[in-house]
Amino acid sequence: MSDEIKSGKQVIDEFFAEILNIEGVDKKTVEKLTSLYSEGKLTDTNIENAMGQLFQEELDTTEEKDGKD
Amino acid sequence: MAKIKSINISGIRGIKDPLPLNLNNRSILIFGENGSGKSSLTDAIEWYYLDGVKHLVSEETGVTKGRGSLRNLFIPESEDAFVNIQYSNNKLNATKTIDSSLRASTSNTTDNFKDYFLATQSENLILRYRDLVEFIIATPGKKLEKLQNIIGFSAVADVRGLLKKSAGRIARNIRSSNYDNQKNAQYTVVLVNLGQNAYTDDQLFAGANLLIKPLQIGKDIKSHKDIQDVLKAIETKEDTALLEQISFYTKVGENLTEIVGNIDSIHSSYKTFHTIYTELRKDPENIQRLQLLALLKEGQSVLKNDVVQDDYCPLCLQEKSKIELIKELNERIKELEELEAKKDKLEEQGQKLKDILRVNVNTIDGLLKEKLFKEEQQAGLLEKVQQIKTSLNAFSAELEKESIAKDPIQEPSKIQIDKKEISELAKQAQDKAKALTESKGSNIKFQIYTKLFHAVTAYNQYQSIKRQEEILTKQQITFQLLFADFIKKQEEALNVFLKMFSANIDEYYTTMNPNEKIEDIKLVPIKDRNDDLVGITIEYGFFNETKTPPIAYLSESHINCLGLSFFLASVKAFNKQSDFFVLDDVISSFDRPHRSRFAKLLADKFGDYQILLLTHEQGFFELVASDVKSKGWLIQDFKWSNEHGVEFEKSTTDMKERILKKFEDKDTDGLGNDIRVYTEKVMKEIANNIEARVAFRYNEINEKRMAPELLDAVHSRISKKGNRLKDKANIQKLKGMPMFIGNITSHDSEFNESIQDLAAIWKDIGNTIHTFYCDDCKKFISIKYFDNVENKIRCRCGKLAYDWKK
Repeated sequence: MSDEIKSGKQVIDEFFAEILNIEGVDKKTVEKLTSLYSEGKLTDTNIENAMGQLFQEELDTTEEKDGKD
Repeated sequence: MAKIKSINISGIRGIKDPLPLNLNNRSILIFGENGSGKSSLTDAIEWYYLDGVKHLVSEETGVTKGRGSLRNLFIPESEDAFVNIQYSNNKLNATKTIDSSLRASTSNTTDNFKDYFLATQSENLILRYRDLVEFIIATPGKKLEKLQNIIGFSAVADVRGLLKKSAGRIARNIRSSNYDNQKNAQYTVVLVNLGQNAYTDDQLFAGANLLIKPLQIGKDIKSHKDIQDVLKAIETKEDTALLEQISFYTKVGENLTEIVGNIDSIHSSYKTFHTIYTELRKDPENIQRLQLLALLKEGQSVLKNDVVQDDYCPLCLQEKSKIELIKELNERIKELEELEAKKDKLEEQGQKLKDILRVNVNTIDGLLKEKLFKEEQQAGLLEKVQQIKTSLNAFSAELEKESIAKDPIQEPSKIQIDKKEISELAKQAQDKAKALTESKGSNIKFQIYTKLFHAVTAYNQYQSIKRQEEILTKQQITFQLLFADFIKKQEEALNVFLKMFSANIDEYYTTMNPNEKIEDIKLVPIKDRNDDLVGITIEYGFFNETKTPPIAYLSESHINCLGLSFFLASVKAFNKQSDFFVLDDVISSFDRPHRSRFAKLLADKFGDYQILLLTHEQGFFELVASDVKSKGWLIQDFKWSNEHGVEFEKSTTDMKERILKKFEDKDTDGLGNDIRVYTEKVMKEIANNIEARVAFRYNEINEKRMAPELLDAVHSRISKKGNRLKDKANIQKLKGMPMFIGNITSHDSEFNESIQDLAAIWKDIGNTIHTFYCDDCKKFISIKYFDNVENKIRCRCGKLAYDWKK
């Protein structure tokens, strides 16, 4: 643990900078979140909408793939 | 880092005429009796930085943040009130004005100033006596909130909350969707129609090949496209109506099977809800008391905001220590908050059940849209399906009931969905579909088409549901991992901060309270049973035992001391732009040794800061003044007059200059009074230095000692201690002078002496004062410099000395 005193912004920035290194996370989910944070749009409603959109995109991709064979 | 070069205030609170304060980046000690308006200076600075004055908010309604009481009542409407601050960094110089319609504006619109101003919003610039204990007596949750706000961790808490909320929402979606149940319903259809398991494409294709084998169409199904080709090839248009009926019953069977799979979950959820609900209602007073929570919190806020300044309860008006009252309120609020947590748990359980009910009602609504329900022959089935919806809605209706309603919600045994009946209905629908499929026993192609069609449709549904579950589970796991990682990072950062912050608080507190059995003061995070950070408490060692919270064990002055330490630690930690702070009457509850140590703490640890130290206590003023004069502090007295509002009282140096100027101008107007006031001031200092005793007086009366009383006291003291000093000082001569005959009512009265008489008086007074004053070191003789060997009272440099009996 570093003994450097960090501001709240530093804590959040560092978290989002290292977020993809967290073992076991879904890359697309993380990318959506990072994008919302960098645009200053990290709100509950925006996260809910983004996750709903991602859910649908992934479902559609699967169904398209299933229909191809 | 910015210091203040000068402040000029006009028309704010008690300050009517412009009050320029030239600090030149130096600290200042300001004395003003109660009502002298010194806090107007603090109010003006608070308004300048925070656009409102907290302690004025309670005096008015609306959202003006105290601005309604800000303007001095006696300035014309056309005149703007203002605060002008010139800083060490002149790019920040600004004037903030407020007009009679309470519109405020700031002259400096540069980015430099905006950045500085924004940064100051999380700085600690002002501490008043009334705010001293605010942090110390706050609940753990409020302490966390306050600290997080000032260290910029509120955004961290927000992100943490978002991650947690998102993980929870997705988990709830997964739970309420009951994917296993949905998959089972589809799987049953696959099994019934295909006649074998089909969890994978290969199993489906193998089953489909077996199913179409009797048709001998020479097609080997290896893909979904092959299945569609086969279906197209064996489709018979003339049986569309029959196929619709089979699909209808198949859907009814599927949907009802899904609902059957959820019934146990609905019942058990309701049972849990009912148990919590019943527990809460056991003591009806509990719920009633919960309604007091908002009132108690309001009371807490009223006390903390100092709406009530004296020690009494604002509701029953009985005398009560304010700190005791806040302590009791905190305890009651804590108890009710625990009760509120139970109520929250009830609401959470209710929400969980609502989610499950919503999914099932949606399923029924989707089913009811089937066009075959419009046919008369389906009236019986329609009624039964509608009845299921009614049963589901009955649960929702129970959930809507208030926990304080007169009649309780229904017992779990009284509100049940008939699982058996719905199971039978599902079975009947499935049997009907099967019977219809087999009704064309001779038409093998139709039967195979129907079975393959339904098997494939259900298989695709099964895969889609499986995929939905996988996507959501992936999202949920991601949010859980992010949340866990974020907590770790937040706690690490908070602990580093708390460690440093606690060390400073501990240092300042123990400096002011040495040799006391309170040590190792720490701010400690508190977690709830879910390991969530919910607050911060203050811990300290007390006779080698760890104690918390401070309010339970410490006296009022010690709690104030802790509050002061917290503020000073906050200044060190958070003031990154402003190199100054204001302390307004913060030592009222301290005794002399604590005041002395506090003054030393300021001088030793905050020497680099510019401090605006305001006090109404003459003793403290004199104590600090003697220490800080040599450190370059400015010393200033405030007074208030009807004519000008708050103004500076002339220092003895200023007064002396004024007197000399009047002699030069031969102006006798008010000269006698000036001489009296000047002599009183000097005599006070002499009396203090030689420890001449005067009769005890309360508070401000003590500060209004008249010259005759002081002269008597000094004369009496030096008469007992040494003849040389007594003879040289010749106090008796002064006592006979006209301006020293009388009492407090003679203040400001007119003297009719000629300029020559006054000059003679002035000369005699000067001689007397000079007896006590050393021109070399510019100090009065004082007990502080008593020479024990020679038994002499001396000035600081020792050049002026008199015999002084022990």
